Amino acid sequence: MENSSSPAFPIELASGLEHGATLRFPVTWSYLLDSPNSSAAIQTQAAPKTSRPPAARTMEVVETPAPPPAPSPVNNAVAVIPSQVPARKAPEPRPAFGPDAKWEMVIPKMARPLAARVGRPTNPTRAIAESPKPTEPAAETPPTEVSFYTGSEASFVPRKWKVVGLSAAAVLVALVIAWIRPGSQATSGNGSDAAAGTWSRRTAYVMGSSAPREILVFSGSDDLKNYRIEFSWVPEPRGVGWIFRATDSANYYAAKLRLVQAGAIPTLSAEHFAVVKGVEGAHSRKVITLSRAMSEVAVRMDATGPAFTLSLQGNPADYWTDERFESGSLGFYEEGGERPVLQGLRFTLFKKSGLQTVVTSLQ
Amino acid sequence: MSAPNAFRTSGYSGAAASPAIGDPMEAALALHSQGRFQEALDLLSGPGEYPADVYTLRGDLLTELGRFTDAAGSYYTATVKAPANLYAKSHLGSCLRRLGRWEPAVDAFQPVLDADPHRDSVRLEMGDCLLRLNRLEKALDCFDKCWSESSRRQALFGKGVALQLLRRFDEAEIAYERVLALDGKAEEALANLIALSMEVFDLERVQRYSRRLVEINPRSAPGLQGLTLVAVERGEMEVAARHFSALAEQAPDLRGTADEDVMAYRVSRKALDRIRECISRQPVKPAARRY
Repeated sequence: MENSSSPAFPIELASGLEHGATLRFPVTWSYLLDSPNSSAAIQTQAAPKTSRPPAARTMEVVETPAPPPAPSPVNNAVAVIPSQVPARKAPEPRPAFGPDAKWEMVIPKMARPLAARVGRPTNPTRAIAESPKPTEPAAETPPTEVSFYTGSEASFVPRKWKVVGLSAAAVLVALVIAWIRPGSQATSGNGSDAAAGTWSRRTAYVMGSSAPREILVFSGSDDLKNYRIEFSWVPEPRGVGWIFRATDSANYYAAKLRLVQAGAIPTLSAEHFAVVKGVEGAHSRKVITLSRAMSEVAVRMDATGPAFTLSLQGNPADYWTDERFESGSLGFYEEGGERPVLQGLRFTLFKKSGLQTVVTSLQ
Repeated sequence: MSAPNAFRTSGYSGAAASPAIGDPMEAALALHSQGRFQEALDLLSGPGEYPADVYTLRGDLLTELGRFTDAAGSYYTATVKAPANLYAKSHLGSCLRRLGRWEPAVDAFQPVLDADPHRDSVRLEMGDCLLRLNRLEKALDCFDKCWSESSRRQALFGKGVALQLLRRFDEAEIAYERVLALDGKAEEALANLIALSMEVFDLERVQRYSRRLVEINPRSAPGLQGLTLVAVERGEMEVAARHFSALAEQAPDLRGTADEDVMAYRVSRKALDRIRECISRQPVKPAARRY
């Protein structure tokens, strides 16, 4: 076999390829720590740097003859593998993925009607792509499975009653849940039916600080860019601190309000800072004087792009810009284990799907 | 790497830590912020006993200079002098990971995560070490604990790898597909999906993922390999020749036997000869081809 007329075939078959070419498929994970772009470059290399599959699995592939006639009486699609294929499979046991393993793509596994599973003939030929729902062993179908389509039912009537009964039970349960549901949380939005988020508590280590900072992250605000935080705060020296644009417990913006001096004309301090890679930056502090003593101060902070506005009692009190974090969660933080006392906590989240308002509490 | 002002804002001020060497520290920080790492290092390289901050800064400078062994030593000294210095500990772990010392790296990362379980960047690095140590269940747990949006893609990818190595292929495939939903150009996820499909010899999937990969990167070796083997398996030697020719241009090592721990497919000499025949009959121009 001469190759002189093929300049695009640089492989020297005479040396090193006496037994054919070896195509390798290592499992690699450079994407884990590299940026996507750099990992893309790595993928073009033949021998990626990380590879650790669990066992040897070399398929001895021999010459494939001319396109074989389709051996399967059921399907003659190209996916049918010639009869010698099973012999090439790795000899090691594969408990989860045997030769007749079922592949479920992205769709999560779900209970299917029994009728769909039974009665299908088992195809002795391994037609991988042709049988997305191969016959499963009977043991996989629990006998107690609730099904509206069981073949044992002779008529539609009992099935109908079962449907009606279960529907009534579901409605009853929903009503009970709605009745006993605590009224502390509610969501509303412009057609958005997103559920209210939950609070998750995390410990945030700050470089140079001996005491860890507890942060409470509102999970419904993940990866959001713009939002408004509103709450009523009883002025006190301990203050209230909140975080926003938090990508993790080491990267976030934070702001804090504190009562500096009580009296007829109370004085507050408003400060904001950023924590980047666990390092807390300089605090920008501003002293704000209230016009009179008040039991509660209405606090509002708007995060819009790189601009942040803090308003007290409806009046702008501080404004700053910071471009380091574009998006992230919001929440509160505690220092010294003291939870801030807030009322009327309300988040307005500007999501792609629309505006969502969340009324919640820290309790 | 670490921001130069990290030391100024995190209690690393040389003046505060040690008035005696306040000036060299400040000067080194200034040089560090200007990118003059070697000069900054020279300032801190004289004989003497330094506080932990100096060793930490030296570690940062040595890391910037790519001297990971020296950097690890410097960070290690910092952790001995100040055991609570988690910054130095995490960077010590990073250096050890880069040096391929997986076990000590895990030992360095663990206390950092014990103190702050939500440092996802550290957790990802530790997950990498655990994968290399073949502690797959622990690696999976590690990736599962990542919580932040910024690390979601990598955590999902790591989870996919751990599940694949645990041979939980259906779960691994779902994890990779989620990665691809977040980053449609994650070539390595597709390459691992090809390897995963090879494990069960699902040619349909091998072809599908290979096509996706080659659409993203026409020079991708895993993608071209996948397309070649599918064509060979189906006896479509003209197609195989086209892909094999493109693959050969990437000059991967196709010789010899596969490593024991790598999934491999061997094309016989006879099949190769047939591919050559096809190529010699119809020379192809891979660069002009569209997938």
